[in-house]
Amino acid sequence: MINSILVVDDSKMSRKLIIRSMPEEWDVPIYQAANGIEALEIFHEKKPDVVFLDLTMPELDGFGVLEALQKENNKVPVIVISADVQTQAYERAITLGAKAFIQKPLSGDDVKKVVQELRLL
Amino acid sequence: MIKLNEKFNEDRRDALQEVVNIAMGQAGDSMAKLFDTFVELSIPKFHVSNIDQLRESLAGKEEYREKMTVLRQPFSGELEGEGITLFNTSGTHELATLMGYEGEITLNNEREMILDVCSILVGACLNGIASQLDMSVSYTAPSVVVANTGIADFFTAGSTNWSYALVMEIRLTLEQHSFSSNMLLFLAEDSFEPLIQRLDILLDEL
Repeated sequence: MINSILVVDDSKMSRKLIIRSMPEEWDVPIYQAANGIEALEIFHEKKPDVVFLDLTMPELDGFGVLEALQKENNKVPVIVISADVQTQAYERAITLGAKAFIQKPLSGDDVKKVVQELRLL
Repeated sequence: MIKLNEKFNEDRRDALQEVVNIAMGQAGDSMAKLFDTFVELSIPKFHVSNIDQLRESLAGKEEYREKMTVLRQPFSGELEGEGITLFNTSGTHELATLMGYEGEITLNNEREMILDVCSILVGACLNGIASQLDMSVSYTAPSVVVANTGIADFFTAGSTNWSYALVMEIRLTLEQHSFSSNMLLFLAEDSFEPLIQRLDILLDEL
């Protein structure tokens, strides 16, 4: 059961696109963060049930967020949505605990497909 | 100049930054495959600048203080301007190893390698921008403007033919290697209006 969502991306446009791509069934509060530091603060305060995370961000990047969450033994699914499409970036994100990796630019039902695969609906 | 900075308001800059970010992701992936190593990408920075402001701005930055080789690749079409790629001299010597060359490397070999890397970087980045914004762009072959010298010599070489431009600054570094590259994309004034129109279309679709 998803009760709230956290979307982390330094681009306002990208956050809007991600939110627009979410399943209609998710009529729940969506929190937004523009960098990794903000993301961790909101994560601890609001305790979202799923996190959409960009990698290339100021202050603290997505890898830093994943590392911090891994140290906390986090169980909340993190879905990386990134323009960094290098194999090494994918492998690093998955090693650090990301449940899925979606490449930017987002197209069609990318987000919905991953959400279904992870049985988050 | 102030009016131009206003034209590239916060929303348009945000949209452009994301477009360039995605394009650079493709460029970084091409580089990662070429060098078989992880490429760290900076967040793209933008400013509308004249040549004097740019010279001053770059001179004040740590990463532009070492000796470098500077290449220029003009492009034209709906997106018009030039891509300037700067390679640090120490890292350039490492390129041969990274690209799997064996034996003695001549200056010509080294020059060929950086011309290739410049083409891949500028091409991947601009193709990425153009395809996302549905704009046309074509390229002229890159050339070396100055080699193994300070950034000031690039400006005194007088190779730039614009008075002011939208400057996009991107830095790539290779994990565990000394090689790094800065790419500056100068978008000429004639590209501003078409670019703004396409960015507005993107923003309107949200």
